[in-house]
Amino acid sequence: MAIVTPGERLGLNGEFIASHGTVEIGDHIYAAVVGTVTTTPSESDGERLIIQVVPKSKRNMAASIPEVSSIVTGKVLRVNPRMATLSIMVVGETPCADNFQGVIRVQDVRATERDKVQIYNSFRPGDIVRAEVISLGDSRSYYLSTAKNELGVILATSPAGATMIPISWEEMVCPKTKVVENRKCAKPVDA
Amino acid sequence: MDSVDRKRIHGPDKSVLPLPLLDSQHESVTSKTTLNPSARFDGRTHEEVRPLFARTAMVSQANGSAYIEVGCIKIICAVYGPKQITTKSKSGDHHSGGRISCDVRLAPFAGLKRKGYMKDTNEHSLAKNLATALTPSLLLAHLPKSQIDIHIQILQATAGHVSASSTSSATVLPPPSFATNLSLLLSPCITVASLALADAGIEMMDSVVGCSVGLFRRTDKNSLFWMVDPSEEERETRALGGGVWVGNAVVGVMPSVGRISGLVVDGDVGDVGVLMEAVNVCVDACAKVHDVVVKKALVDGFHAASSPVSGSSSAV
Amino acid sequence: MAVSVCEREFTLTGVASNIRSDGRGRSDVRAAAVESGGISQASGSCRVSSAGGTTVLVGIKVAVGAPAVTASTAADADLDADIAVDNSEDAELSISDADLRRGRVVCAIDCNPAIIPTMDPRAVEDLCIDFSEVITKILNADHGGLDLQSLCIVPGSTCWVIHVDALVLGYGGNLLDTLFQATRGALHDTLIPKVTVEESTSASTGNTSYEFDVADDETEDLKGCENIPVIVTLFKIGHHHVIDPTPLEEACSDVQLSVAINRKGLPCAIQKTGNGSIEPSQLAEMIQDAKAHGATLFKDMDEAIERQRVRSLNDTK
Repeated sequence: MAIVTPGERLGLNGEFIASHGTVEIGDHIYAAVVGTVTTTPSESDGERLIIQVVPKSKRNMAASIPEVSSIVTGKVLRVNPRMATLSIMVVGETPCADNFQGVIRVQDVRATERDKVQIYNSFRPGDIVRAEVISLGDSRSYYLSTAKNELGVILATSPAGATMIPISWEEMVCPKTKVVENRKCAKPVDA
Repeated sequence: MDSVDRKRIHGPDKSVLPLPLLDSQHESVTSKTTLNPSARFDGRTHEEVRPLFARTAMVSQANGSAYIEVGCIKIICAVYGPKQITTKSKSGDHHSGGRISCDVRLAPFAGLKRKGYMKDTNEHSLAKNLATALTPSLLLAHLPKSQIDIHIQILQATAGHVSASSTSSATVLPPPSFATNLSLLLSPCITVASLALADAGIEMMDSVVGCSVGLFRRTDKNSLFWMVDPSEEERETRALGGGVWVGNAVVGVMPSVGRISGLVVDGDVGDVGVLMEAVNVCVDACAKVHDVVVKKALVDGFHAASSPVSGSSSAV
Repeated sequence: MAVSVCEREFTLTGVASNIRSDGRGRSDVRAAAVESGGISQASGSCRVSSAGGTTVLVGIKVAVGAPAVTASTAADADLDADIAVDNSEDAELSISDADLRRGRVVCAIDCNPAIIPTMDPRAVEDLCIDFSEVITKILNADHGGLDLQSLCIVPGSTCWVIHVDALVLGYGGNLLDTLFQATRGALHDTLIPKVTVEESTSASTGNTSYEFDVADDETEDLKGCENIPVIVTLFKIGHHHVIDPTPLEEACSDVQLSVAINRKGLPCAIQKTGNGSIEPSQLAEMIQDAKAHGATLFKDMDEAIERQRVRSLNDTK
């Protein structure tokens, strides 16, 4: 298996579909990172193979950067009546090298009855939240949304220090003190 | 992986002429100003670069790093990021793509005399020209709202024996100021920064390789000739071929694409013909350096990262 | 400056078909007015205003100072002691014999960020620093034209320092070329006081000491002004390049090539800026074009300066 370096010609545009780690310039596809070339058959296009360059180690992989529609996991830093601020720690499956800031605005918390949402009854500082990137946002933060069943709080700790258990879409209970707190809970996803 | 012959450069399956610049037309142009091989102090031909050593993954904390040694020049580069842009910008162009920030520093012990920690204009313009040369190669559109920090530390900038050799030469010439020498530090800076960026896994169109060329005026005739990758000795003294230093050009080249990403020219470099001849020779030299040193350093770095055995080096 | 897709497309297509939004072709420049000598307090001054709205005022002050670029920072006594010490060491690093026997030029550019509202204030500041570095570098170099040796008063200790202070008063694109034109005009206008140096060797110690006297009323022209190069910046837009761009064209350009052309019509300094790359063949083409524009610019500048000279002579009569 050949190792390619940036700028190495991999093939013609007509032969392959350029994917991760490659770049199309004119008719040619070039490698964009150091790594090994892999080709996989495409589902939509029977004739062309998908070509990508896979960096072997984590060290060689550029830290993931959130894009629109990527699913991110982050920790709630602070809340105010208008929005919850998150520090994005994981994009898809890959951890970020550097934490990116994201906000969930009150209107993006859930899909229905948006006017009745209260941030404090949805998220609290310290919660781990799964969310979707809806826009690159302003110069400071990405805009995130939890308006889907499988998005929302996936891990929360009660004031007593125990991991809380979701009991409904909107409630979590502390196993120690049996105190019920409001959260926008995420539907567990089958691993 | 085991069957790979690491001494060979792997070409693409479907081969095309790699560089349109290597055609015979240019060869005939360059021969006009050819010197005899003995024209240089170290016996190089006029279009030969100095031996250079490069390796990647030098700084464990950084996302990517590289080290380069060319003659007496020693430079280390570390790349951090991509990370979120924290400074607020009014223009609102953060959607258009990422940006890079370059920082070039000369170590206090880099020269013959100690240099202060204060950043001077030379370091500033080095950093600016470096950023100009690197930006075209990077696919910054893929990195919205992000910044890549490139830190370069020049550990050694001059040879220790310069003054001795320049006094021994018979002619009395005003040695070019340190600023001229600094501009020639740019070419290894470009090469090492691009290596570090590739090591960090930043997506790029092509590596950028830097190369400098010194232009000299023959004292007997009023014609110019050039020497690729001039050493400090050649800058400071009259060349053996009997020429006086008149100017220099530093070129940043993307070898596979065959495009020029950075260009700084200083001095009375004569007409466009001579200058372009020199630039084209730089482009050729960069392609060679890329094939022999840069690629190997990257492939070695890749192997080192995937196996516990470390240590990777390369030299022309 | 953010440019919409339509604006970019419009500019690109216009440039490709050799007609720009203001009706000019790719190699047409806008008319520029050059007025020198407007500021009586300055040793020399010049104002260049282009029809596109770029207006630049350059004032020159000459002062007696220390030679070599970095030595001056140590001489600036207002820095704290630590920094000054650092800089003096710094200076030793870069001083060569030739530097000690010549004067020097220091350039600073000031631009109120409000003048370029499309740019970030910090970017404007960076731009000014970059431009001042370019101008300082060219004027201090051997190929910069000025006879710096003639500015030396006492070798190694005293020389004339020419402070070029530029003020950007309006912005309509093509700032660097205009700034350099104004600097050139102002240096032509500059008069420096005559200096007489007396050398005396003391009999007891054998040391040579110098005394110099700056004349109050006698002045002389700066030597070598006519050999200062001109800067032509070419902006590559799409597959073609233009000169003297509007701010919109500047924003659409991915490669800028600033070429200094000397009186012989040959390039003496080139710097590439911008986020794009160029092919060597196009580079040659661009430098060729810069040469042609440089020659025209020289002619225009010479005529403008001559007109100013005639007018000032008439005024004094």
